[in-house]
Order: sequence, then structure tokens, then C-alpha cells
Amino acid sequence: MIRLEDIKKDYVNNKNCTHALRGVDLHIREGSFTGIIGTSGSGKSTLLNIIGGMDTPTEGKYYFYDELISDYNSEKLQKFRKKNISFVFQNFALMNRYSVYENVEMPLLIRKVKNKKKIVMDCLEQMGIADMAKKYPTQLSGGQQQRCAIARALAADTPLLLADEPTGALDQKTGADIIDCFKAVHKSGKTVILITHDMNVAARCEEIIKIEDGLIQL
Amino acid sequence: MLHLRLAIDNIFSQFKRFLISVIIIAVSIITLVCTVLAYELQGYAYDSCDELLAQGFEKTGVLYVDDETEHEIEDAGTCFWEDASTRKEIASLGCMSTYLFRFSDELLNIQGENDEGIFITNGDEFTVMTIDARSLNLCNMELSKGIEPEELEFSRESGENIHRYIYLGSAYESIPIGTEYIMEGAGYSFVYTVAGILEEGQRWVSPNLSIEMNSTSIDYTIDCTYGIFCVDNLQYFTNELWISASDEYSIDEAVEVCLEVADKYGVTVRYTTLTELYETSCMENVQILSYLAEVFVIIVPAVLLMLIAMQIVSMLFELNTYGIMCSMGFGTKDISIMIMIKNIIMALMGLVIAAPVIVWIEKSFMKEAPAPILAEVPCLVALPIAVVILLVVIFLTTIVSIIMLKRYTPVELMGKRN
Ligand SMILES: Nc1ncnc2c1ncn2[C@@H]1O[C@H](COP(=O)(O)OP(=O)(O)OP(=O)(O)O)[C@@H](O)[C@H]1O
Ligand SMILES: [Mg+2]
Repeated sequence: MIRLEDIKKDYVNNKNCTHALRGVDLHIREGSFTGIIGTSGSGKSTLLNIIGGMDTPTEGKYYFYDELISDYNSEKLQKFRKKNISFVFQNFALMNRYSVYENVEMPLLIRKVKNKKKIVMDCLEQMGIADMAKKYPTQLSGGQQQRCAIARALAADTPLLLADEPTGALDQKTGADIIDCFKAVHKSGKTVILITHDMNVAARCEEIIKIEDGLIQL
Repeated sequence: MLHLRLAIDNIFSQFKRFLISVIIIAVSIITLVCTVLAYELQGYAYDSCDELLAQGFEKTGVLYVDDETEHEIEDAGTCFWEDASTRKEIASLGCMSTYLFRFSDELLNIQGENDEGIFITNGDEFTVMTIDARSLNLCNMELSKGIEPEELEFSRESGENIHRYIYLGSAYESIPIGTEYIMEGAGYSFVYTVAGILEEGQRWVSPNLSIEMNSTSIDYTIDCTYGIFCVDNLQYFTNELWISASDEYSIDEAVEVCLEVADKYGVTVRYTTLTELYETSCMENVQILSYLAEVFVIIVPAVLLMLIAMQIVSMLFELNTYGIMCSMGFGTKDISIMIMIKNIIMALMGLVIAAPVIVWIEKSFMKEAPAPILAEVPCLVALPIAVVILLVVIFLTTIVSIIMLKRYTPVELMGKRN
């Protein structure tokens, strides 16, 4: 499903050049549940953002099925994201001034889906926070916020779900619950890639990719 | 539809900020309208009279024939007037003043409908303006029908049946030319014949103008819709005569001739030109208004900059939201259109709030100002300026938002936190 060939990413900041990725080759199967681990600053988020079409690599080729994503301009990338990608972030990235319901509904609006109400409520139900639909993200606990974020990703109904340290801001127990949620999403046929620091979480992934200093460690 | 929905959701998610923006826009529009009003009003006292007076503002003045004398001099005054008005330097020399009269219930009823200006009824009397045939050409007079003033024929006999003509404002259109009204008194009777109906929108200089142009009023013309002008050429004495110079001559030359003629009859004459009146009593007012008008030049770009800055700042606050929307698959185009619609709604709300406030300001602080200006300036002058400003603001903010969204990747918009 995903094939990366010699992906490099440099960040240039007033003459300082950071080589965040230094030639990543990677293959991810459709329907897999992949964990990315590595020390802080090793390039995990950079890699995930490139996979998610939120950022472009400086060099190298990124194939999604047969499409060469690394050649896309921002407009095509947006269409690619809209069709294929959902994100879950460590800091939840909910829109705090919109209600839980509106947050989950948002990806449906751009995808012009019918029957929005039912889909939103189903997703919230599945995440066990249906009764919080009218609340605002700031009124929820961390775990509930992350469930809301996953519900939003679920509502988008994309084949690929990317999560950047989804349990990073949560305690062990809540984190384990969130991973259960991801497992459930995975079972429904979606490909999941998540970044984690937590070895307990990593242990529950089907496949593990270790990244160190911008390179994949085997 | 999608973008409208997004814009409305976005407005409600930031309702307080939205309200503040709307209020700032409304206040800007109000300031703008007020300065434009000041700008338009500064020249109004002069321009409106200048346009109305047949010989223009600068060639018109008022003669005061001194009244401290006895009866014989009064005759002298009359002789002076008769003599002076035939001189070639003088285009018109005559008197006009308003009186309360009663000679026709028909006219009384029509004027009774009017409650503004000077042509109003008072009990069972109504206001007419008596005017000398020789000063009817003081102002440009347009008739919708009837006999032109120059063609009127006056019978000179005095005593029993004195003949006068009346010109009626457009409100009296239904009254046929030639209708006669008779006013009987002890031993005399006046016959008033309707000579013509004035064109709609006809105005006349205010008789008060000869007393002073004070610093509180702005309009020295009066609406003649309900006007009744009694015209005669009786040689009765009056100590206040309107004078205007003929085409080839200046007001000074005309006055010069008058002084000579006055000397001949032993009459003392003082005079003042409208320009003099204007400069001595109105200048302060005009100055203040023109300062306001100058402020206008500063206010427009200031308003523009403020609105643009405000919109851009409020957009910066929301970059995070836009980043999140990008991560969900929204494109630059969707977000830009959303911002644009939001700004349009903001501008419209600003206009809707500003409109009644402007009407209120006009009603409570500018009631002296002439109605046509109060009605037309906000709509015909200020509104287009406001709309152009708002369009520029909307256009620029949209452009800036597109640049911002294109310049940063979604990750950067969200702020790197992972
Ligand atoms: N926008 C940026 N500009 C400059 N350098 C950046 C930028 N984003 C990331 N980097 C650098 O790239 C390297 C990789 O960053 P990345 O965020 O991918 O690390 P990470 O593995 O996700 O770390 P963490 O576990 O702490 O989240 C780091 O050295 C970081 O300083
Ligand atoms: Mg990271």
C-alpha cells in the first residue's frame, strides 16, 4: 500500500540545516497495524507527516499504491488527504470552539456525505462518548478527547489512519483503552500506523519500525 | 452551501470576536458617513443659494433704506426704489416677506397638510410670501404652467379693486390658472388671480437670509411645494430691498448706482452683499465643517488599514483551526472561501447595524441640515465609499489568507507539537 524509497527530509532554518530523515526505505501492507518507535527527535513525526501528505519530502519517492505522491503539488496533496488519510494527534487537535458533534461532523462536510447525523452518532457510540456530543472538547477528559479525535478519524472513513503518539498525553490505563479503540478500527479493515514511546503499546502492534537519527533500524 | 455552512459554524465558534469585528466595522461606517456629511455640508450654504439665485451668490445683496424718517421721506424712499430699479446695472430690486393671511379655505386646506418649513398654517390663517414683481427674477423660477412673471399686466389704479397675482407651489397643482380669490376689507377689496403653478422641487431663498446668516443653520433656501407667492407692483415702502446686479455689472457697481440715486432723493441707504454676510457670520461654521472634511481624508485610509489589520490578526488567531481543517482534507480554496464568506457576512452585519445609528445621528444632531443632503449623501456618496472600502478589505484579507495557507504546510499551520 505504501512504499517509500530513499526518502530524505531536510529542515532549513536560517542557515541551520537539520537532516530529519536521511534516506528511509519502507513498505507498509494494506490492513496492517504498524508501530513506529524511536527516541525523541529521531524523525518519527516527520515520517508520519510525509506519509499523511501533510508535508513533502526533500528527496526520494513516495508511492501510495501506484501513485507517486512525492510529486504532488499542494492541491493534489489535499485531494489525496481527503480521500485516504485521517489523523490522530498527541495533543488531540480538536477545534476547541466547536462542539464534539461539530468536530466529528467536520470531515463529513468536506466529503459531502449524506446522512451525517447517523454517521456521527455511530462513531461517537463506537468510541463510547455519544452522550458528550453537545459538549465542547475543553469540557472532556484527555481520554475522552482522544476518543473524540478517533471518532472524527473514523467518520472520515479513510483507508489509512495515522496516529502521532495518541497515548502520549494519557495515563497507562486510558492509553490501553485508546489502543483498544485503534484495534477495533483496525478490525473494521483499516490500515493503522501509530507512533509511540510506550513499549506496552508497541508490544500490541503487528509490526514495529524502529527509527533512529533519521534512518530505519532493522 | 458547504462554505456558507462552514462560515456560519466558524462565526458561531468565535462569536464574541465576530461581534467585536462587526461593531468595529459599524463604527467605521458611521464615522465615514458623518465625515462625508460634513464634507458635503461645508459648501451647502453657499452652493445651494448660488445655484438658486438668478445672478449668483456674488452678485446679490440687500439694501437697507433707513426708516428713522417721517412720511415725506417714505415717499422719497418709494421714488428712490422706482428710479433705481430701472437702471441697467440692476437686474432685480424688490422686497419679499412672509405674512399670515386668510383669503381662501381651499388654499388653507392644502397648506394645512404641510408641517415643515415656513409655509405652514396657523389656526385659520396661512403663510404667504408677498413679493414684488421686480424681484421675482431674484431666483430662478420654473413654472409647470401659467404666465411667466414678465408677462403679467398690472392695472395701476388704486382704491376699489386692487389686482394681485399669485403663484402656487406644486402641491396646488389641481387649482386652475385664472382662479380668483377675493379678500374684502373695510372699503377695499383685493382680487388675487392664480397666475401659475411652480415646478416641483422649486426652492426660494429664505427671507431670513437678509437678516443674518447665523452659524447654526446650514440651509438658506426654502421648499416651495406648499408655497404661495403674492405678486404685486404696488409702490409701498419697505426698508429692506433685495438687489442683484445685471449680467455685465458687479454688485459693487449696482450698489454704487443705488447710492447715487439715493443721494438724489435724500434717502440714506446701507447695504451688505451676501458674500459679506456669509463671511462675517457663517465662516466659523464653514471652517469647522471643512476641518471635519479634512479629517475625512485621514479617516478613510485609517479605517481601511484598521479593518485589514483587524481581519488579518483574527485570521492569525485561527491558523491552528485552519491547520486542523487541512489535516481533515479541507483545501486552501475551501478555507479561503469560508474566510471570504465570513467577512462578507461581517460587512453586511456592520452595514445593518450602522444604518439605524446614522439615521438617529441625523435626526438628533443634524436636524438643521437640509433634508436632501441627509437623505442622499449617506446613500449616494457614503454607502458606495463604504462598500468599496469593505470590498477592498474582504479582497485583501482573502488574498492574505490564500498566501498564508499556501506558504505554510498544514503541519506548520497546526504548530509543531508532536
Ligand atoms: N519545522 C521544523 N523546522 C526545523 N527542524 C525541525 C522541524 N520539525 C522537526 N525538526 C527537526 O527534525 C528532527 C525530527 O523531528 P521529529 O518531530 O520528526 O521528531 P520525533 O521523532 O517526532 O520526536 P518526538 O518523539 O519528540 O516527537 C528533529 O531534530 C527536529 O528538531
Ligand atoms: Mg513527534
